[in-house]
Amino acid sequence: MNVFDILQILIFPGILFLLLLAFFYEWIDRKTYAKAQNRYGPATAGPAGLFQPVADFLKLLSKEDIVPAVCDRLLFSVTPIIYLALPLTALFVIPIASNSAIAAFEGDLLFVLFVFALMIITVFLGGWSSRNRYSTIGGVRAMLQMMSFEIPLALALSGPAIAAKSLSISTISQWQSGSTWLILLQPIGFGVLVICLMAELETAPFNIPESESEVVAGWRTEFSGRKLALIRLGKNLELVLASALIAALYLGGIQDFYVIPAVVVFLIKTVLIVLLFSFLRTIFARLRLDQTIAGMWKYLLPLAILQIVLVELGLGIG
Amino acid sequence: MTSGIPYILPVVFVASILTALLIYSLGGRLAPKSTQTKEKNAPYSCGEQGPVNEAKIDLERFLTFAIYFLIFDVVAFVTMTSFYAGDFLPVVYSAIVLAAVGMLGFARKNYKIRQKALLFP
Repeated sequence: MNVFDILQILIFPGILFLLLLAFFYEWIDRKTYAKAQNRYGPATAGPAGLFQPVADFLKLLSKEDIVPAVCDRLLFSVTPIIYLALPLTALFVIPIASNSAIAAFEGDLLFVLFVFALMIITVFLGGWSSRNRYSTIGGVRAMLQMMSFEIPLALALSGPAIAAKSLSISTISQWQSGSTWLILLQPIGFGVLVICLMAELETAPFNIPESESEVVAGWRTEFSGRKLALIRLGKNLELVLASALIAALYLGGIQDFYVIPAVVVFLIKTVLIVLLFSFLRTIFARLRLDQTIAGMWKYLLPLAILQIVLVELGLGIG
Repeated sequence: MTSGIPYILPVVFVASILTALLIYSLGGRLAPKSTQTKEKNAPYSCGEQGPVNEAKIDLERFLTFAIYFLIFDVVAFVTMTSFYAGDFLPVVYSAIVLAAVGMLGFARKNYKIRQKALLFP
């Protein structure tokens, strides 16, 4: 490990770049969401409100950090830090600025799946350590939702792995340059993955764990100040992770395209996915918890299994 | 290309944790000193006196989904690593697991009785 590696981890395409990207994608998401609802959205800070997420983050950082007396203090303080660190780590196994990721290894697809599961467990622990009614209810809801979407998510991720005969995201991403895009070969898997990642991100049709106007703010009711700032940043990084994962697995992968460098390809494809997420969350209304779970088990899981059966039969391998 | 040993991943994880801690301590510098009052330290409950006892987690709902989750997790893992194995081995494994799901479907007819025996022997 030399100086170049350390610079890669810390600045580009490492931590600093990813944090800035998280703020940028939050701006895109909020702006699209507002435009679709005939609102202006963030408008004051910077050109077209570009710095509004940063301003919000700094405001939250400078607010008083209140810890209620009944809370489990240690767990309550550790949860936001883990919540930020997990998606930040997982983004290093996804190719961003070159054909292969910085921390790529054979089996990093399973690592990403593990991170997605662990984030929901962190959510549950955060809600549970608050010892608040609303937080506990939100955490339990997040856990029940995770139990229903985790299996279709794993199956949707395994379709590309079987097609490319590799469990490494970088290898799958490069395999698509010699073949067709996997969205054309396995369209059902792409749909299932988008729906599951929307449930993972807790966006609109699946935002029952943090449903405002129902259980105050769900599992993050008691978090304030710097803890809430870390949680919001972690959520934005999760959005970057989800869009980067879909782009790498299904949208032809992230690699140098003739003269266009890989970063530009990454930005174009992930922004498209973020726009898709924003539109979908504008269109749909919130589902009840039982509707979500029944829908996932009754419709999404058979669809995911159907896709795997088609892949095993030799269709959709390319 | 992909290396055999993921030596860089622990380094990245430590770097991420340190970043989070840095932001956390920065927030501690920026924020005003917190003052303690009785109202501020109370758990949020819409301005009213909240219930004193802790909320119970509905174990029964968890258990049903947890059993199915465990079974289908095996299916997902088998399919994920199926390209390493022979042609029909993953199909056989998946068929065994799906048969287990079918068994569970029969067992759910008297599920309530079984669960009571399981939880309160």
